[in-house]
Amino acid sequence: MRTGRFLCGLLSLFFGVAALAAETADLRLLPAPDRFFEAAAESAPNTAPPEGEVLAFGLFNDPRLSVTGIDRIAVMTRDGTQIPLAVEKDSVFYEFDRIVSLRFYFLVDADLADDAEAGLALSWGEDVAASNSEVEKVILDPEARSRIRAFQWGNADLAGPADTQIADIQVIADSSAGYYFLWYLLPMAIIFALLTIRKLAVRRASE
Amino acid sequence: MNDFLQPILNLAEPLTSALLALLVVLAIAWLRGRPWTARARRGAFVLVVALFFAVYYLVRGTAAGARWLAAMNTPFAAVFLTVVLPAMHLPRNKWYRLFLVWPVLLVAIAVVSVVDAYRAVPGNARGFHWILVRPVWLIAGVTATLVLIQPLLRLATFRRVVRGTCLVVLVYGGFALRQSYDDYQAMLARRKDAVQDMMLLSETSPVMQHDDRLAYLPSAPCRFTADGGYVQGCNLEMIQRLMQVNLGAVGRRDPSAIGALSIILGALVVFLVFCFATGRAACGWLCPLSTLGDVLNWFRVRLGLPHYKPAQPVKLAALFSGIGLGSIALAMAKAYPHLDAEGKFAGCKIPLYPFCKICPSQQVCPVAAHGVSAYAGLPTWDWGFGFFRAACMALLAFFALGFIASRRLWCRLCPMGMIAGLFNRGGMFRLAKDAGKCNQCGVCADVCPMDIDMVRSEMTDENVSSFDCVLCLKCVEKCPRDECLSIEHAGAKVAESQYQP
Repeated sequence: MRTGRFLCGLLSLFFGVAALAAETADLRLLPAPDRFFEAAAESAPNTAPPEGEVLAFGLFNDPRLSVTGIDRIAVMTRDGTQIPLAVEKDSVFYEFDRIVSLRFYFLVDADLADDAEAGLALSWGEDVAASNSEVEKVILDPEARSRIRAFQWGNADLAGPADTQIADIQVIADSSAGYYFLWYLLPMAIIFALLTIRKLAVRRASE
Repeated sequence: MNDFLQPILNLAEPLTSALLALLVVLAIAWLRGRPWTARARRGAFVLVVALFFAVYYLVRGTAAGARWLAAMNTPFAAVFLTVVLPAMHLPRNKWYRLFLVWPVLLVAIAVVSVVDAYRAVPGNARGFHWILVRPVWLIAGVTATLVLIQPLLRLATFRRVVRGTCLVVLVYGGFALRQSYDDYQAMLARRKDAVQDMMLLSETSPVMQHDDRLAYLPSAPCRFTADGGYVQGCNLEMIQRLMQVNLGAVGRRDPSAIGALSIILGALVVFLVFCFATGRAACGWLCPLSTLGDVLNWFRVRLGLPHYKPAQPVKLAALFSGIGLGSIALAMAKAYPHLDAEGKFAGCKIPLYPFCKICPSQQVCPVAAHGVSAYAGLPTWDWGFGFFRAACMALLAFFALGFIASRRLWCRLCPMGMIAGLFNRGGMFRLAKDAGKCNQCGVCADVCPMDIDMVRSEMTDENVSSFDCVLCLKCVEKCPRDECLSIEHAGAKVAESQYQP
């Protein structure tokens, strides 16, 4: 009986810990930069928002992003409604089987897009469940520029151009990334310490 | 099917961690030494594993932690933990029979995975003879099959089956066992230029080279085998990569240099864990180069040629030659970040992987896989000095001679085995001898492919493991005194001598 309770406790600990993995960031919509429409000069546009709606597009590569699938990322409104995302298939970048960067767009009502207090939020993590879809390369229609926005997340400085903000985020948020490789030395040191201790023990036993 | 299994695989991800493999073998060894009841030991073991899972999930919750852990994950760890370790440690009773359900299930999953991958192939493209199977299921299925047939075979036969299987997977697996139809198509595209595929390392693609992880074995599965081979390569390839990392760029915190260093260090941790857990067993059971060498030895036996037992000075000369050659080649690999536009350093052209240029495996494994047409060709004299060509020819001759005239003379020089050999005394395997039962008949020394005499002569120390031992267990198998010699893993007896004439 006690063993059963003990194991139940352990299992609860597992699943409790596993469920903790979720991140959230505020989302803001900015005017679309020129580079969004460069592809339209070479190929026919294939993406434009319907009348009365605004399309928000951008690259999401927060340093904390590490999810197993595109359905682990969601955009939510203040009242908790989930907005489906259209993820550009070729933009999904994996590292060790986990998505660390991707480009996507989503549609919101024009009223909501212009409301500074709209409360849009981006959530990602293993306990997030969304119904997102994949699309081929997105070529935005310059004719619909007034209804296209760039999304921005987190606390980036809004004063500069959107391009610069998007490019800067990884550097600002992950300033200690240059030292992560040192962590691998820890298990190596443990292995060699164990080997040395065991070798000495073998030698002592032999004498 | 993979979609169906993915949530389960995500939850079971800690099982693929080399750190868990290390923790488990240490826990087993430690718990065996405690004067506790079996039930208390089981409870403590479950607690240790449970705590590891909890900590793993917590660390995985951070992006940097997830990447750190992921670099040390490998399907080899999961198979080692769930198939190999129970097969070695469980007593042969009803619990072992219950455990056998798991290997049977793994074989079934592997078969379904193959069928599933084949069904995904477009209808008009079917009819090829390659097998499409994800590495995790191939490794699990093959290992599970070996565990299932092991009780039916004598040790010598079982060893031959294991070595033959590893030869097929490691040498032929690069082109016969691709992980998906896309992977197979990419391989076909590369094979249109076979010379390029053989010689330009950057153009080859081992089956297990994906999602930024590198899989190395403490033996010599050559990276230059046709289509890149099945695993990333041997440990010398890994250390050459490590030497090639531009430490100046790492100091400047260049993300690409740090990324490359992290991936190699992750692979190095996995490699060290397996060296610690298995010592030099890979030389005796997995290494395709020694298996191919033993084929030469087989011819020697059939031709009735006597075998040369190297004297101690010859053994030492081979050892120091291996250390010397390995050191020179590794020092040359260090020049890689400083090569000029013509690929030269200090006026000399230096190949990308200097040790590979002199290693016989780069000559032997491709030919074994693809015939003489796949011969990699010797380095030319235009390297600026004849070191590579001369060294390659000398070592190729030594390799052939090492197996024809002697038995595994080559394995004394092999730097791959030397690294794993450090873990033979102090690692988890221990060759033990009950001196009270030994009559010093010398059968163990006669059958030993490494010509080790210590097992016969040592009469005071119970531990007869040595640096050279490849853990092939021929001595245990042939010892005429019951229970005199035994092999232990983490304190548990895995096999012992039971004389079979």
